[in-house]
Amino acid sequence: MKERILELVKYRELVRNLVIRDIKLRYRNSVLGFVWCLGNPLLMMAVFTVVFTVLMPNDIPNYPVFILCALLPWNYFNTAIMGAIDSIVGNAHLIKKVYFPREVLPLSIVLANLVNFLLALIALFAMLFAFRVQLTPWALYLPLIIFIQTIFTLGLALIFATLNVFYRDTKIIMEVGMLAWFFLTPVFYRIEDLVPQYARLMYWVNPMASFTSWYRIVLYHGISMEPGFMFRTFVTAVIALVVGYLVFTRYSHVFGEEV
Amino acid sequence: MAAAIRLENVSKRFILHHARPHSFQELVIGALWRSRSQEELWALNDVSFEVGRGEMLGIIGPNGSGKSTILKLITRILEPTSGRITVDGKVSALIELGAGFHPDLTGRENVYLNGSILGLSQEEMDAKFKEIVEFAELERFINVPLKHYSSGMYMRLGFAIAINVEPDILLIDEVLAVGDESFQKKCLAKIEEFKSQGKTMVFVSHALETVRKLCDQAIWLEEGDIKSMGSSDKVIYDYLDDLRRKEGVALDEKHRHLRYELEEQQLENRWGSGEVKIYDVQLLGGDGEEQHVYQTGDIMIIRLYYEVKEPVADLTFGVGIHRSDGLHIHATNTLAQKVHYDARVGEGIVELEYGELPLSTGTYAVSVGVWPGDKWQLPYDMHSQMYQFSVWGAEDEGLIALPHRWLGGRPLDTSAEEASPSPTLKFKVESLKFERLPTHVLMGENDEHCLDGGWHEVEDWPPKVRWTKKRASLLLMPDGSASRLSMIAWCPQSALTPQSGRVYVDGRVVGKFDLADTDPRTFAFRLPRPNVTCPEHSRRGKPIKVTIEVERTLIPAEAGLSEDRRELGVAVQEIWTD
Repeated sequence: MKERILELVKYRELVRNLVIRDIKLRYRNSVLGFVWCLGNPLLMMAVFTVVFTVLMPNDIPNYPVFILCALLPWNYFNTAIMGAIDSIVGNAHLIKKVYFPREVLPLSIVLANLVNFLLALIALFAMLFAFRVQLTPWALYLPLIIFIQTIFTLGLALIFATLNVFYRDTKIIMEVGMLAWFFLTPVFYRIEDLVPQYARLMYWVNPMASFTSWYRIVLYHGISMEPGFMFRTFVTAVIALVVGYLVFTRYSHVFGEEV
Repeated sequence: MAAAIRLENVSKRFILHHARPHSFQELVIGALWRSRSQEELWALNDVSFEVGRGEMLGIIGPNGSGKSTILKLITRILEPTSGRITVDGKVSALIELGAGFHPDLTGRENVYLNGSILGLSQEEMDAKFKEIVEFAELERFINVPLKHYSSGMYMRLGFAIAINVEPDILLIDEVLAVGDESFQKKCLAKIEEFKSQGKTMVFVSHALETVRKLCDQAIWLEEGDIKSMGSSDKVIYDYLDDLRRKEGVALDEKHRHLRYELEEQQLENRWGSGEVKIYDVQLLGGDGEEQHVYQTGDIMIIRLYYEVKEPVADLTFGVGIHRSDGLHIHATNTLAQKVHYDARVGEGIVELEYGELPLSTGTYAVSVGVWPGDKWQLPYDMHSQMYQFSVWGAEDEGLIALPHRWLGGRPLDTSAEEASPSPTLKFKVESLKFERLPTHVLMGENDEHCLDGGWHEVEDWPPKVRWTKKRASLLLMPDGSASRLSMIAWCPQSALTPQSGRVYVDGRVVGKFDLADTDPRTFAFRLPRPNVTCPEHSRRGKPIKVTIEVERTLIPAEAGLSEDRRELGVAVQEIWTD
């Protein structure tokens, strides 16, 4: 276990290069290129805003900021998981030909999406500024929230990547699964809008509900978070990572013949 | 020597993919009916071997024998089902070039990415980047996306990276089979360089010649078992022998089949009108036993069994030999040789003997045919390249083992005088065939035909004597049992100082001599042993070149002794072998 982690550290250059490759390739052949990492979330925000303020009006103030606060973390989670699912199978040519710690692949996918997310936050701050939402010192929690979300995402990424090696249905099922998850996470609605017992249940079983709420609490509302709530989510994230890593390393030695 | 790679009782089992559920659906069905059978494939069975530091190991064997599995186990792409693998040092594998290349990235970006896949740090890659690009000859294209590269450029880049990561252990899997010739040469040169640097290498290949040339040790794998292990020469010999024997059996069965059941059916490499059939072909050694592996210079007899079914006018049998790639090496027929065969109905045998098979190491195929008169285009029966044999050659390379011998070399600057044609030079190598060389030369007695350069006219003193220059040669034909070379010689009469020199046979020193005065002395030297790689080729029938070289020569006129301006080395009266 310790050896494996040390080996992973040895391959940090590879992780870095794969992350760079991913980011470079994402926008390489598009006309606007880099602008898209800001433009894409803003366009999605516009769509949600039109739907939920013009077509189905609601009483949420500053709705564009409200939606963006949760949409960006959700997009980060969604693209990271969907990318990581395919990371082993999609790199079969590498897995079969070269040895390197296999966890490098899902890890680099998650990190590349993290970088993309951090860049997209520029758009969020621009919107906060445009809508004159006052930032409070609680916004300093942001790096911690992002860190915990990354831990959780990585844990799930490892599990799904492994599962997809043995059962290729995983990816297909998860395409629907992620859509369901999206609707079950308070992204375009408030968690308070739900029937109360469902709201509590959601916090218990859906860590993504906790994450999106956090972003809203510290940025949109600018208020403090309940430390106990935060700690519970942190523990959930760590458990996800440990389980994910154990599952992954338990099976990674046969990837070479299964992909 | 510490082992760089050690495999101890390594086995590897694959569970065949079609037998295991690949989707939830199959899993559910499998759980309900319990019908799926586990199909196992043991790619390696209890394999143990070591590769010492600096050694180069070749792995040969048919497809699917587990060769590539071994490489993948060493690189840790696969893990053994049981057993232990110990690898000491950094491994780089030339299993597939450019693994992980991305077409949208530039050459430069791919170099760095590929380098880090192979485990190199940014600084190491910075240091090697220039070398890699130079080796790949891609200076102009390095900032161009890879999708614009030709496949050759793509491969060169992949190879350049893999070879420049400076591994301690290099694994090579058939990559040399691709690429143009100049690139292949470059790869081989780099491998030779690695070898001279004492790197450990494992080389998996079908190219037996290359394995033999590069590797000291070899392993022959078959169905996951080590069939033979040891020096590459021995292993390749075993492998070829087995291959021929197996194919021989298969062909015999094919024959019977042909003869009794499918007379009329035309095979792809067999055709003819059928009045006469060649129903069996045997390749025999000099002892008359069936043989499929020969050594260069062996006797090979090709025996055709034929049956004349309908009386025909005139039978011509022909035999041809092709190299495994189809190159036509030799063909002969009985018409050209004016040999006639009885064309009555019935069976018969025709034999063709090659007295000394002049072929180098390789696999060859024999074609046989029978046709009327000179109408080879309309054969009764023709078997095209149906019978294989292999040849195990001496050190020489190439297609044909041409008969040859090396004439001893000499430095150019010291032989300014020898360069002028010597009046006594009568012997030419071409005349070897026609003149019988003596085993014993008594100077002055009709010895002209065996003297090479460097002798003076015969003198009638004391009985008969010849003088050598600084260096003089003659040719002798030792008989098969000769083991010694003897010579009666003395100092030139006018030499005031002791004389000494050396005697060479075929360019190799066999001994020294010292002469103090003009008294004749007998010297005996041991003859070098004949070529050990072909023991049945004794020295018999091969002339030797005896060269006498003295340290100082004397010109009597310069010593003020006489008007004689000859360059005198040593006086020789007799030379013989016994």
